[in-house]
Amino acid sequence: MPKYIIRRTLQSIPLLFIISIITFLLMTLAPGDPTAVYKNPEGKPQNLEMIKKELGVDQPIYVQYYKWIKLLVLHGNLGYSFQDGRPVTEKIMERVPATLELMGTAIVISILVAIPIGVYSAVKQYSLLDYIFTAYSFLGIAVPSFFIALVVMLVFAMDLGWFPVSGMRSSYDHFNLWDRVHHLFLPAMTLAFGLIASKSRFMRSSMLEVIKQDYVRTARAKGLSERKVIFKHALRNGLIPIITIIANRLPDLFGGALFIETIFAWPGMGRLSFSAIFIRDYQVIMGTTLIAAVLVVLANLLADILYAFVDPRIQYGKS
Amino acid sequence: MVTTSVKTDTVVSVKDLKTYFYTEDGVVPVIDGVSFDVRKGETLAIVGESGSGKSVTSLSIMRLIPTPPGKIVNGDILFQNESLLEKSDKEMRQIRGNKISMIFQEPMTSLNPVYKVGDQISESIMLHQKASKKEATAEALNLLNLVGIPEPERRLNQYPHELSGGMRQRVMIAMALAGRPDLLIADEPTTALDVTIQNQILQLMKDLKAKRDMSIVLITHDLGVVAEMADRVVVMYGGQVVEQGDIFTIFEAPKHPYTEGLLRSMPTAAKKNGKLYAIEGTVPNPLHFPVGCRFAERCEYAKDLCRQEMPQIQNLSEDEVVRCWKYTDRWEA
Repeated sequence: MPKYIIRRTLQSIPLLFIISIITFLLMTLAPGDPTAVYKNPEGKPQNLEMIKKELGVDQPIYVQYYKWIKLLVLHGNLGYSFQDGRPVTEKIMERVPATLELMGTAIVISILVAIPIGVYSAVKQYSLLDYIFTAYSFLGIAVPSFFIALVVMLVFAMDLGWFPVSGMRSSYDHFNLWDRVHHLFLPAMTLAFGLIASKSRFMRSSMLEVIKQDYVRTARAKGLSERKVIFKHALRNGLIPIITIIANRLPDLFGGALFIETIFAWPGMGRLSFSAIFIRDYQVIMGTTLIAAVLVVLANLLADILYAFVDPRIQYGKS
Repeated sequence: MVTTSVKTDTVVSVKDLKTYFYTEDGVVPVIDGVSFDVRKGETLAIVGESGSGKSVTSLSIMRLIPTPPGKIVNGDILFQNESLLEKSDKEMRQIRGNKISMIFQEPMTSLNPVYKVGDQISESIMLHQKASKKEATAEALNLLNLVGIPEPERRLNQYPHELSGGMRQRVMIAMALAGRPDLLIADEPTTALDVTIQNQILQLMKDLKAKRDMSIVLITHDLGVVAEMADRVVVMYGGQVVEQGDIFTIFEAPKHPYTEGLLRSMPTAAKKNGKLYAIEGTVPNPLHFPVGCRFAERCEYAKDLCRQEMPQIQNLSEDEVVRCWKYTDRWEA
């Protein structure tokens, strides 16, 4: 197993390298540049040239990339924001807790709700509730989250006034748990709405597959109660494919949901990326993209390791 | 009229059982009036082609018919003189895997891949014998010894995928014995195994039957296995019993044309140069069973009578039962 993990980690280095090149190219080739925000109809063009030179964007793309990667590889430094000159690492780190709070809540809730829904729908296939859950799933998968965000904002925040419209807290003076939960509720539920829809669907089909297996019949033939047949013998097998799906969503924990964080003015990573793209802050964009890529690689590795733990048939490093 | 008297040495008595499946295409009478007895200490073989209803018969006894679409619509199943159809789900669970056990055709997929072999066996023991985890593990080890698994201590901690097919079937048998059953239903237990392993498993079942004083219902389409194992034989065709008798009568003097055909299509060393005999045609679609005898289409003796009217089941002697017009007064008329 350790050998396998080392091999996988080494394999991911060229991958991350390629991702960084592609991101850099796409970003620099896109129209607009970091100086656009400084443009002033009455200003002198020389000033812009000066700023360009200062930021280093006057140089050819490959030189810019070389400088960026050299700094990263030799010093582990992600560079400095074009916007305010602060280290990119620092800017990212201060956004991580907010994203963790929002995405962690949404993912945990979605797992806790989606698995029971999926199991119920599979065991009572074609029951009234199964049809209701199915209709909900299609809605949740088909409707984009930003639309749901606007609807819940309109209904629960504006019309009913039950929740604050946006933000993460009312004041920075002191910590107030109730206030934080109050702010967290709408964005977290909006995210969970979509996550539950897709996960419960996966869980349903996974369980449907499992409950017609021979070993489930064996469990019944042993005289086990239906509860034990489903929750001990079927569920453990039905969860195996779900693990990959959940692990694949883990990068979102840090990457954040771009639209939801932006709509609800949630000060997380998603909003940081979003605003960085708007002002062409190349350094921050590279930083957040690279971290997202690393997380995807790590999450996939984690999924494979978890697989080996829950499914005894899977073993790594043995021929 | 079905006789209601049950002989004292009868373990299971199936009486005019009808198990229908309600599908989108219509009602499928998979089991259509099946009756037979299983006596104490005997091996009863149920023989028939795929789709003849033999597996559904065994699942009906276990009350494991998936409902819907399946349903037992008529008849009764008496186990030790008590109706299984009148038992509550809870009472039924105390019988399954305890008094009546079952092993299946596919040892490769019948064990749960994510639990250790030892845990799967001791689960049954703890369920039916109110044993502690430790006692159950000790008993599981005994059972693995009993079914002749080499290195049983090591096997306890292995997962099903680490065992061969024959070994897994032995594990299934060990699991079935956990509750000291009076009846073991074996649904094609050797079909998926190599020929050499088949014989070992059959021999094991014979030994265990004697040691544990059980009855066995053996479901198979392999007449070689029947000859090896059975005391009595039930031949099924199209969801009905067409013939029933002791092993010697069935093999030496079969009455029903279908049984005759089955025996003639058995490969033997003597038929070296000849072509293997095959019964012409296929099993009729259970959605559209003919009104007359269900075998008439493929029967070389069939007359108009056979196609017009369904023959009734009748006793030729105390132990011999057949469903065929040939053995009635109306045949010559």
